[in-house]
Amino acid sequence: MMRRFVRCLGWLSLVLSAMVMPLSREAQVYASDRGEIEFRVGSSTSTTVAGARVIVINHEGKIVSTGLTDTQGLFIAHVPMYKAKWNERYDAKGVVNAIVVADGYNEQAVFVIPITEHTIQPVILQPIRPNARNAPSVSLGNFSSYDLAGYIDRYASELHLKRQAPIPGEPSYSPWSAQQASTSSR
Amino acid sequence: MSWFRRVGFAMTGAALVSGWSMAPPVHAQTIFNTPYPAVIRVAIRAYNNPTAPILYVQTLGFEEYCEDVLPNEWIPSWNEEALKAGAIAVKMFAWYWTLHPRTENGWTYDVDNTTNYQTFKYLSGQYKTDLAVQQTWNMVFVPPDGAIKPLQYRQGSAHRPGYAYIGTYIMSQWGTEYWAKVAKLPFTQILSLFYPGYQVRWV
Repeated sequence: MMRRFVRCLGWLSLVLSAMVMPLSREAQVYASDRGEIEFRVGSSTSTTVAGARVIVINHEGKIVSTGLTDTQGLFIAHVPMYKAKWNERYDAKGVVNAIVVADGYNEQAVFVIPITEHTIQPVILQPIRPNARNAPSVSLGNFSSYDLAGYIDRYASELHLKRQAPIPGEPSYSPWSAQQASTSSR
Repeated sequence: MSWFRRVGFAMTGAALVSGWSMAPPVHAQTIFNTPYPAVIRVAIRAYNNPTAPILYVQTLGFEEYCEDVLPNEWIPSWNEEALKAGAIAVKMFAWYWTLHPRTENGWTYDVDNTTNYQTFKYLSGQYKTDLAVQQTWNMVFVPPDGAIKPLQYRQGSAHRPGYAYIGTYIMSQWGTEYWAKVAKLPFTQILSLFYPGYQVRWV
Protein backbone atom coordinates (compact mmCIF):
# COMPACT_ATOMS: atom_id res chain seq x y z
CA MET A 1 0.00 0.00 0.00
CA MET A 2 2.78 2.39 1.10
CA ARG A 3 4.89 1.50 -1.96
CA ARG A 4 1.93 2.19 -4.28
CA PHE A 5 1.39 5.57 -2.64
CA VAL A 6 5.06 6.51 -3.08
CA ARG A 7 4.95 5.42 -6.75
CA CYS A 8 1.85 7.55 -7.32
CA LEU A 9 3.56 10.50 -5.70
CA GLY A 10 6.57 10.01 -7.99
CA TRP A 11 4.38 10.02 -11.10
CA LEU A 12 2.54 13.08 -9.90
CA SER A 13 5.76 15.01 -9.31
CA LEU A 14 7.05 13.96 -12.75
CA VAL A 15 3.87 15.18 -14.46
CA LEU A 16 3.87 18.46 -12.49
CA SER A 17 7.54 19.21 -13.21
CA ALA A 18 6.97 18.48 -16.93
CA MET A 19 4.12 21.04 -16.91
CA VAL A 20 5.97 23.70 -14.94
CA MET A 21 9.34 23.58 -16.76
CA PRO A 22 8.18 24.91 -20.13
CA LEU A 23 6.07 27.58 -18.38
CA SER A 24 9.00 28.90 -16.34
CA ARG A 25 11.26 28.91 -19.40
CA GLU A 26 8.64 30.96 -21.25
CA ALA A 27 8.39 33.34 -18.30
CA GLN A 28 12.15 33.85 -18.31
CA VAL A 29 12.22 34.72 -22.01
CA TYR A 30 9.27 37.05 -21.49
CA ALA A 31 10.97 38.87 -18.63
CA SER A 32 14.23 39.36 -20.45
CA ASP A 33 12.88 40.25 -23.90
CA ARG A 34 9.94 42.47 -23.06
CA GLY A 35 10.11 45.84 -21.40
CA GLU A 36 7.40 47.48 -19.36
CA ILE A 37 6.24 51.06 -19.83
CA GLU A 38 3.99 52.57 -17.19
CA PHE A 39 2.09 55.48 -18.70
CA ARG A 40 0.87 57.96 -16.10
CA VAL A 41 -1.60 60.27 -17.77
CA GLY A 42 -2.42 63.55 -16.07
CA SER A 43 -3.26 67.09 -17.01
CA SER A 44 -1.72 70.50 -16.49
CA THR A 45 -4.28 71.16 -13.78
CA SER A 46 -2.66 68.58 -11.47
CA THR A 47 -5.18 65.82 -11.93
CA THR A 48 -4.92 62.30 -13.30
CA VAL A 49 -6.88 61.36 -16.41
CA ALA A 50 -8.85 58.10 -16.35
CA GLY A 51 -10.10 56.49 -19.57
CA ALA A 52 -7.39 57.98 -21.79
CA ARG A 53 -6.47 55.87 -24.84
CA VAL A 54 -2.75 55.09 -25.09
CA ILE A 55 -1.44 53.79 -28.44
CA VAL A 56 2.12 52.49 -28.45
CA ILE A 57 3.90 52.34 -31.81
CA ASN A 58 7.24 50.67 -32.52
CA HIS A 59 10.07 51.77 -34.84
CA GLU A 60 8.42 49.97 -37.77
CA GLY A 61 5.22 51.99 -37.32
CA LYS A 62 3.23 49.05 -35.94
CA ILE A 63 0.95 49.28 -32.92
CA VAL A 64 2.51 47.07 -30.26
CA SER A 65 0.14 47.89 -27.41
CA THR A 66 -2.99 49.92 -26.75
CA GLY A 67 -5.45 50.36 -23.90
CA LEU A 68 -7.23 52.75 -21.56
CA THR A 69 -5.87 54.29 -18.38
CA ASP A 70 -7.42 53.11 -15.12
CA THR A 71 -9.02 55.28 -12.44
CA GLN A 72 -5.56 56.43 -11.34
CA GLY A 73 -4.58 57.44 -14.87
CA LEU A 74 -2.28 54.42 -15.35
CA PHE A 75 -1.79 52.16 -18.34
CA ILE A 76 0.96 49.52 -18.43
CA ALA A 77 2.28 48.41 -21.81
CA HIS A 78 4.52 45.38 -22.39
CA VAL A 79 6.60 45.86 -25.52
CA PRO A 80 9.53 43.98 -27.07
CA MET A 81 13.00 45.22 -26.19
CA TYR A 82 15.60 45.82 -28.89
CA LYS A 83 18.78 44.55 -27.38
CA ALA A 84 22.00 45.29 -29.22
CA LYS A 85 25.68 45.43 -28.49
CA TRP A 86 25.70 49.21 -28.51
CA ASN A 87 22.96 49.61 -25.88
CA GLU A 88 24.00 46.87 -23.45
CA ARG A 89 25.39 49.45 -20.99
CA TYR A 90 22.24 51.57 -20.97
CA ASP A 91 18.93 50.98 -19.24
CA ALA A 92 17.09 51.86 -22.45
CA LYS A 93 16.85 48.93 -24.89
CA GLY A 94 15.18 50.55 -27.88
CA VAL A 95 12.48 53.18 -28.12
CA VAL A 96 8.80 53.47 -29.06
CA ASN A 97 6.47 56.38 -29.75
CA ALA A 98 2.98 56.81 -28.33
CA ILE A 99 -0.21 58.75 -28.98
CA VAL A 100 -2.49 59.60 -26.07
CA VAL A 101 -6.06 60.83 -26.57
CA ALA A 102 -8.75 61.52 -23.98
CA ASP A 103 -12.17 63.14 -23.94
CA GLY A 104 -11.91 66.78 -22.93
CA TYR A 105 -8.24 67.06 -23.83
CA ASN A 106 -6.14 67.81 -26.89
CA GLU A 107 -4.19 64.87 -28.32
CA GLN A 108 -0.52 64.36 -27.54
CA ALA A 109 2.24 62.41 -29.29
CA VAL A 110 5.16 61.29 -27.15
CA PHE A 111 8.31 60.54 -29.12
CA VAL A 112 11.33 58.42 -28.23
CA ILE A 113 10.08 56.66 -25.11
CA PRO A 114 12.86 54.45 -23.75
CA ILE A 115 12.04 50.75 -23.34
CA THR A 116 13.48 49.56 -20.03
CA GLU A 117 12.62 46.88 -17.48
CA HIS A 118 10.22 49.45 -16.06
CA THR A 119 9.95 52.86 -17.71
CA ILE A 120 7.79 55.47 -16.02
CA GLN A 121 6.39 57.76 -18.68
CA PRO A 122 4.30 60.71 -17.50
CA VAL A 123 2.05 62.27 -20.16
CA ILE A 124 0.57 65.66 -19.31
CA LEU A 125 -2.44 66.46 -21.50
CA GLN A 126 -3.64 69.96 -22.26
CA PRO A 127 -7.38 70.53 -21.60
CA ILE A 128 -9.55 71.72 -24.51
CA ARG A 129 -10.07 75.48 -24.20
CA PRO A 130 -13.26 76.87 -25.78
CA ASN A 131 -12.80 79.92 -28.02
CA ALA A 132 -9.02 79.37 -28.15
CA ARG A 133 -6.61 77.63 -30.49
CA ASN A 134 -6.65 73.88 -29.72
CA ALA A 135 -4.13 71.59 -31.37
CA PRO A 136 -2.24 68.36 -30.71
CA SER A 137 0.93 68.75 -28.69
CA VAL A 138 4.18 66.81 -28.65
CA SER A 139 6.52 65.77 -25.87
CA LEU A 140 9.64 63.68 -25.47
CA GLY A 141 10.10 60.33 -23.78
CA ASN A 142 11.34 60.18 -20.21
CA PHE A 143 15.02 59.49 -20.87
CA SER A 144 17.31 59.34 -17.87
CA SER A 145 19.86 62.17 -17.82
CA TYR A 146 22.44 59.53 -16.86
CA ASP A 147 21.66 57.45 -19.99
CA LEU A 148 21.88 60.66 -21.98
CA ALA A 149 25.34 61.48 -20.60
CA GLY A 150 26.47 57.88 -21.18
CA TYR A 151 25.17 57.95 -24.76
CA ILE A 152 27.11 61.13 -25.57
CA ASP A 153 30.27 59.94 -23.78
CA ARG A 154 30.27 56.66 -25.68
CA TYR A 155 30.26 58.20 -29.16
CA ALA A 156 32.48 61.15 -28.25
CA SER A 157 35.05 58.67 -26.92
CA GLU A 158 34.76 56.52 -30.03
CA LEU A 159 35.63 59.55 -32.15
CA HIS A 160 38.46 60.52 -29.74
CA LEU A 161 37.00 63.97 -29.17
CA LYS A 162 38.72 66.34 -26.78
CA ARG A 163 37.10 68.00 -23.80
CA GLN A 164 36.51 71.76 -23.81
CA ALA A 165 38.30 74.07 -21.37
CA PRO A 166 37.15 73.84 -17.72
CA ILE A 167 34.11 75.98 -16.85
CA PRO A 168 34.55 78.46 -13.97
CA GLY A 169 32.49 77.29 -11.00
CA GLU A 170 32.16 73.72 -12.30
CA PRO A 171 34.50 71.52 -10.25
CA SER A 172 34.98 68.75 -12.80
CA TYR A 173 32.58 68.89 -15.77
CA SER A 174 33.48 70.22 -19.18
CA PRO A 175 31.55 69.40 -22.36
CA TRP A 176 33.04 67.57 -25.31
CA SER A 177 34.71 69.64 -28.00
CA ALA A 178 34.12 69.35 -31.73
CA GLN A 179 37.86 68.79 -32.14
CA GLN A 180 39.42 65.33 -32.24
CA ALA A 181 42.54 64.50 -30.30
CA SER A 182 45.65 64.15 -32.43
CA THR A 183 46.55 60.59 -33.37
CA SER A 184 49.74 60.73 -31.29
CA SER A 185 47.91 61.72 -28.08
CA ARG A 186 45.26 58.95 -28.30
CA MET B 1 17.85 93.65 47.67
CA SER B 2 19.15 90.27 48.61
CA TRP B 3 22.46 89.01 47.28
CA PHE B 4 20.76 86.13 45.56
CA ARG B 5 18.32 88.41 43.74
CA ARG B 6 21.17 90.65 42.49
CA VAL B 7 23.01 87.63 41.10
CA GLY B 8 19.76 86.49 39.47
CA PHE B 9 19.23 89.86 37.77
CA ALA B 10 22.84 89.95 36.59
CA MET B 11 22.62 86.47 35.11
CA THR B 12 19.31 87.23 33.38
CA GLY B 13 20.77 90.43 31.93
CA ALA B 14 23.84 88.62 30.67
CA ALA B 15 21.70 85.93 29.09
CA LEU B 16 19.55 88.54 27.36
CA VAL B 17 22.56 90.47 26.04
CA SER B 18 24.31 87.35 24.77
CA GLY B 19 21.05 86.11 23.24
CA TRP B 20 20.56 89.47 21.54
CA SER B 21 24.04 89.44 20.03
CA MET B 22 23.93 85.77 18.96
CA ALA B 23 20.42 85.76 17.46
CA PRO B 24 20.32 86.16 13.67
CA PRO B 25 18.85 89.40 12.30
CA VAL B 26 15.06 89.42 12.26
CA HIS B 27 14.89 89.59 8.45
CA ALA B 28 17.03 86.46 7.86
CA GLN B 29 14.96 83.46 6.85
CA THR B 30 16.12 80.48 8.83
CA ILE B 31 14.74 77.12 9.78
CA PHE B 32 13.91 78.68 13.17
CA ASN B 33 11.47 81.27 11.81
CA THR B 34 10.34 79.79 8.47
CA PRO B 35 8.12 76.72 7.96
CA TYR B 36 8.21 74.53 4.86
CA PRO B 37 6.03 75.99 2.11
CA ALA B 38 2.71 74.17 1.64
CA VAL B 39 2.89 74.53 -2.15
CA ILE B 40 5.39 75.45 -4.85
CA ARG B 41 4.85 77.19 -8.20
CA VAL B 42 6.64 75.39 -11.04
CA ALA B 43 7.07 77.08 -14.42
CA ILE B 44 6.63 74.37 -17.05
CA ARG B 45 8.87 74.71 -20.10
CA ALA B 46 8.36 72.47 -23.16
CA TYR B 47 10.47 69.27 -23.27
CA ASN B 48 12.10 70.22 -19.94
CA ASN B 49 14.25 72.49 -22.07
CA PRO B 50 15.96 75.23 -20.02
CA THR B 51 15.70 77.76 -22.87
CA ALA B 52 12.11 77.04 -23.92
CA PRO B 53 9.39 79.60 -23.15
CA ILE B 54 7.10 78.99 -20.19
CA LEU B 55 3.92 77.14 -21.20
CA TYR B 56 2.13 77.48 -17.85
CA VAL B 57 2.77 77.58 -14.12
CA GLN B 58 1.71 74.53 -12.13
CA THR B 59 1.06 74.84 -8.40
CA LEU B 60 1.39 71.65 -6.40
CA GLY B 61 2.20 70.41 -2.91
CA PHE B 62 5.81 70.91 -1.82
CA GLU B 63 6.35 67.26 -0.85
CA GLU B 64 4.77 66.01 -4.09
CA TYR B 65 7.11 68.33 -5.99
CA CYS B 66 10.17 66.84 -4.23
CA GLU B 67 8.91 63.32 -5.05
CA ASP B 68 8.55 64.27 -8.72
CA VAL B 69 12.09 65.70 -8.85
CA LEU B 70 14.19 63.05 -7.08
CA PRO B 71 13.76 60.17 -9.62
CA ASN B 72 14.73 62.56 -12.41
CA GLU B 73 17.83 63.84 -10.66
CA TRP B 74 19.04 60.68 -8.91
CA ILE B 75 18.80 57.09 -10.25
CA PRO B 76 16.00 55.30 -8.36
CA SER B 77 17.94 52.02 -8.21
CA TRP B 78 20.81 53.64 -6.31
CA ASN B 79 21.69 52.96 -2.70
CA GLU B 80 19.09 54.34 -0.29
CA GLU B 81 21.67 56.50 1.54
CA ALA B 82 22.52 58.17 -1.78
CA LEU B 83 18.81 58.75 -2.39
CA LYS B 84 18.38 60.25 1.08
CA ALA B 85 21.28 62.66 0.51
CA GLY B 86 19.61 63.57 -2.78
CA ALA B 87 16.20 63.99 -1.14
CA ILE B 88 17.58 66.52 1.33
CA ALA B 89 19.47 68.45 -1.37
CA VAL B 90 16.40 68.57 -3.63
CA LYS B 91 14.21 69.82 -0.78
CA MET B 92 16.64 72.47 0.50
CA PHE B 93 17.25 73.77 -3.02
CA ALA B 94 13.53 74.11 -3.69
CA TRP B 95 12.79 75.59 -0.27
CA TYR B 96 15.35 78.35 -0.86
CA TRP B 97 13.78 79.31 -4.19
CA THR B 98 10.24 79.43 -2.77
CA LEU B 99 11.65 82.28 -0.66
CA HIS B 100 13.10 83.97 -3.77
CA PRO B 101 10.41 83.82 -6.50
CA ARG B 102 10.87 85.32 -9.97
CA THR B 103 8.60 86.86 -12.58
CA GLU B 104 9.23 86.27 -16.30
CA ASN B 105 6.92 87.41 -19.11
CA GLY B 106 4.10 87.86 -16.62
CA TRP B 107 4.54 84.40 -15.03
CA THR B 108 5.52 84.38 -11.35
CA TYR B 109 7.14 81.15 -10.24
CA ASP B 110 9.45 79.66 -7.64
CA VAL B 111 11.29 77.11 -9.83
CA ASP B 112 11.00 75.75 -13.35
CA ASN B 113 10.95 72.14 -14.54
CA THR B 114 14.43 72.16 -16.05
CA THR B 115 18.07 72.12 -15.04
CA ASN B 116 17.80 75.89 -14.57
CA TYR B 117 16.59 74.64 -11.19
CA GLN B 118 15.87 70.90 -10.90
CA THR B 119 14.35 68.51 -13.44
CA PHE B 120 10.68 68.09 -12.53
CA LYS B 121 8.29 65.72 -14.27
CA TYR B 122 4.78 65.63 -12.90
CA LEU B 123 3.59 62.09 -11.92
CA SER B 124 7.09 60.60 -12.21
CA GLY B 125 7.55 59.59 -8.55
CA GLN B 126 8.84 56.08 -7.83
CA TYR B 127 8.56 53.93 -4.72
CA LYS B 128 12.23 54.08 -3.62
CA THR B 129 12.65 57.78 -4.21
CA ASP B 130 9.29 58.61 -2.60
CA LEU B 131 10.47 56.67 0.45
CA ALA B 132 13.74 58.63 0.63
CA VAL B 133 11.81 61.92 0.54
CA GLN B 134 9.39 60.75 3.23
CA GLN B 135 12.05 59.30 5.54
CA THR B 136 14.03 62.56 5.52
CA TRP B 137 11.07 64.92 5.50
CA ASN B 138 11.68 66.21 9.04
CA MET B 139 15.42 66.68 8.46
CA VAL B 140 17.19 69.67 6.98
CA PHE B 141 20.87 70.33 6.28
CA VAL B 142 21.93 73.86 7.15
CA PRO B 143 24.82 76.02 8.35
CA PRO B 144 25.10 76.53 12.13
CA ASP B 145 22.95 79.70 12.00
CA GLY B 146 20.08 77.73 10.43
CA ALA B 147 20.02 79.77 7.18
CA ILE B 148 18.04 78.14 4.37
CA LYS B 149 20.59 77.58 1.59
CA PRO B 150 20.11 76.07 -1.87
CA LEU B 151 22.19 72.89 -1.76
CA GLN B 152 23.79 72.77 -5.22
CA TYR B 153 24.65 69.52 -6.99
CA ARG B 154 26.01 68.27 -10.32
CA GLN B 155 26.05 64.86 -12.01
CA GLY B 156 29.81 64.21 -11.68
CA SER B 157 31.62 61.33 -13.36
CA ALA B 158 29.99 57.91 -13.57
CA HIS B 159 30.95 55.46 -10.79
CA ARG B 160 33.49 57.96 -9.35
CA PRO B 161 33.71 59.46 -5.85
CA GLY B 162 33.79 63.04 -7.14
CA TYR B 163 36.89 64.17 -5.25
CA ALA B 164 36.89 67.47 -7.19
CA TYR B 165 33.54 68.34 -5.58
CA ILE B 166 34.42 67.57 -1.98
CA GLY B 167 34.27 70.69 0.19
CA THR B 168 33.03 72.86 -2.70
CA TYR B 169 29.39 73.14 -1.56
CA ILE B 170 28.44 71.40 -4.80
CA MET B 171 27.52 67.74 -4.35
CA SER B 172 28.40 65.12 -6.96
CA GLN B 173 25.34 62.95 -7.64
CA TRP B 174 27.47 60.03 -8.80
CA GLY B 175 29.60 60.74 -5.73
CA THR B 176 26.62 60.14 -3.43
CA GLU B 177 26.19 56.68 -4.94
CA TYR B 178 29.90 55.92 -4.66
CA TRP B 179 30.19 56.97 -1.01
CA ALA B 180 26.98 55.14 -0.10
CA LYS B 181 27.63 51.93 -2.00
CA VAL B 182 31.42 51.55 -1.85
CA ALA B 183 32.33 53.37 1.37
CA LYS B 184 28.97 52.54 3.02
CA LEU B 185 28.66 56.04 4.49
CA PRO B 186 25.31 57.19 5.88
CA PHE B 187 23.67 60.09 4.07
CA THR B 188 24.57 62.60 6.80
CA GLN B 189 28.29 61.93 6.31
CA ILE B 190 27.93 62.06 2.54
CA LEU B 191 26.31 65.49 2.83
CA SER B 192 29.07 66.63 5.19
CA LEU B 193 31.74 65.71 2.64
CA PHE B 194 30.31 68.10 0.10
CA TYR B 195 28.87 70.80 2.40
CA PRO B 196 31.42 71.05 5.26
CA GLY B 197 30.27 72.83 8.40
CA TYR B 198 26.60 72.24 7.66
CA GLN B 199 24.63 70.03 10.00
CA VAL B 200 21.45 67.99 10.18
CA ARG B 201 18.62 69.64 12.11
CA TRP B 202 15.11 68.45 12.77
CA VAL B 203 12.12 70.59 11.90
